[in-house]
Amino acid sequence: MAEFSRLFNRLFKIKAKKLHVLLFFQIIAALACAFFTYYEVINWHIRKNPQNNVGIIPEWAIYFVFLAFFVIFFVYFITPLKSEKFNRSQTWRLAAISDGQFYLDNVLSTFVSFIYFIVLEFVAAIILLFLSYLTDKPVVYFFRDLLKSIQRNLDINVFWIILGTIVLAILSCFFLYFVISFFNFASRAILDFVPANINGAVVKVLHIVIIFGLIWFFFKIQNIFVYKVLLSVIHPTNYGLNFSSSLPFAILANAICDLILLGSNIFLINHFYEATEHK
Amino acid sequence: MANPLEITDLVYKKNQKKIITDLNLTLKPGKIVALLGENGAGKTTLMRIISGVAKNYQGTVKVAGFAKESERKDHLSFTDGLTGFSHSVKVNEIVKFYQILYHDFSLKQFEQLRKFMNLDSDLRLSEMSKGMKEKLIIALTFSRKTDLYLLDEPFSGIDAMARKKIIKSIILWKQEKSTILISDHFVNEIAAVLDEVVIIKNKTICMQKSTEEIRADNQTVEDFYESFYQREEEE
Amino acid sequence: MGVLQPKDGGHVEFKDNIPIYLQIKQYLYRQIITGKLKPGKKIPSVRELAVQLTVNVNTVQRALQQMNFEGILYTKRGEGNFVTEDTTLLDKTKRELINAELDKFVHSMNSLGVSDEQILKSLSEYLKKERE
Repeated sequence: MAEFSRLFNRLFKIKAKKLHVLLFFQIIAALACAFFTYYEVINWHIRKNPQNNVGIIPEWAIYFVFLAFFVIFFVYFITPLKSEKFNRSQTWRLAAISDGQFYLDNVLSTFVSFIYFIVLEFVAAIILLFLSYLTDKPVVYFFRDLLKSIQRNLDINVFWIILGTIVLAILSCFFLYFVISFFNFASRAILDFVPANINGAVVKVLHIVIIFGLIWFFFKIQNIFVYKVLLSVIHPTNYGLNFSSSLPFAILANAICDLILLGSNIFLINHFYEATEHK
Repeated sequence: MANPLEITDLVYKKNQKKIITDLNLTLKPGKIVALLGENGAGKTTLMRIISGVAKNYQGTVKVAGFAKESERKDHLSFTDGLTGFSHSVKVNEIVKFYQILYHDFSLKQFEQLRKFMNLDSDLRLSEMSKGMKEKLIIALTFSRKTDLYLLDEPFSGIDAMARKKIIKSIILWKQEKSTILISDHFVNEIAAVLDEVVIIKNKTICMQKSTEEIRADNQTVEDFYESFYQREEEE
Repeated sequence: MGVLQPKDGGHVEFKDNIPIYLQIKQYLYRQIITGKLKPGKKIPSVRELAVQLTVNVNTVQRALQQMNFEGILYTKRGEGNFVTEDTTLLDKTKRELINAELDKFVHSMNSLGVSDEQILKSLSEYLKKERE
């Protein structure tokens, strides 16, 4: 267990370090956007844009939040892809830990670094909004109204829906991680298995073909599994649930898929998926 | 005490091609052993299987009595090409990584080895020559305290001075009970420090013999090794 | 590090077709006979010797064990190996070493077709000329 947490810490630090850089660039980019909205440059002279009636700091905050959606979306997809290189690396795989645990470490550190990044985005956004609050009155009124409307609509049902959505989001997050690893592991395992005396370029093409084959096959199976098998067993109406949505079902179906994928990934990395050779 | 390495009936295939067949090998504690064979004979593959980074083999591999891969990795130290690091990484950052990854890594020992090898800890990977990199890899490998050390071709493509340093470090830092397996396709340069040679040919181990026994027959270790490959050329 | 290296002035090359432990013994005999290792004095540790000669520790151990057995070295517990102070044994060892060298010399002379009397004659002539 000591090995597990040490490895986790190391992986998390490496992953978080890159996200810090990304956040820094986002803040700078938002500032640059705000600057060029607030001022205009005419004939090499900078002057205040007469059409703009919002202060530069609120502009900055707005651009930051606007960029945040794209950046978080980008991080969500890129981090699991980047993490696959740790699974392939002999340097990492030599750690005195079972491959299954190593894989868990890798996935968990990716997830935690993603959550950590969202928290950082949140904190940065709040700081910027707070600065706007100090400099610009209309912003204050806007948020006061927003909070009031949220308070009015908050009842126990909404709370459960929010909680369920968060759980579902987390499960979907892992689903993406597991699916990416599964395609990586399975395609490699197949590539190591096929009888072949072929050179590098053909191997790459073959690898891509196998991945696409797997993706097609996977979603076929997934569809059948979720809608034919799971739905018939655990349909919400079977249990007379009076929830307005099928959220619990989606959570359960997602959790089962996640577990199956995790199981197969651990099996693949333990028995088939090799670290790359260095010489 | 369990033998540092025991392999029984090992078979390994890749792309439906046999790379290792029916391989059996036992190494006794406290030995320096060369794993000899021409390029592509399966030396690296064998070491990767022992270290648990090559998968899907048949047969059993035991390191210090342990068959489970995680325990094997805990009881052996394998020269890794440091491919998991970016080129801009510094020596002391790599050391930090090793300290975290391996509980048996001794910083004190590493510092001694680093000074012996004349390596600067502020050096980046991209600034290192092949010989320096190999010296760093050896220093990292020997800074762990394990039963089995696997050195994969530590002498390929490096100059004579670096080679001498590495050989001396092997003699100086080897613990009494630990065993070192060194793969190479030459033997001359290391013959004097070897206890045994293991020759890999035709996808399996065809000979394991003590070097002093070979010399007692008035043969050089080099000639002994070459005779196995010459026979094949004549056939 | 060691006693041997500076006085030796260099690296000892071992032949790879003769057991190395025998060559290590030969090397140490010479060191003792020539006084580089003095009677009653400690010789370098096994590991020091191994590093200096670039040989395996086990091989050095084997050589030293045999020399201990022969009596030319003796072990003090926890201190290491020492050269014997037994002068008769040292003389005997010296004689053996000389005899071995003479043996080689006479053999090669004989193989050149030089008779024993001729060896004596040419040797004394050679020495006379060399010493002038």
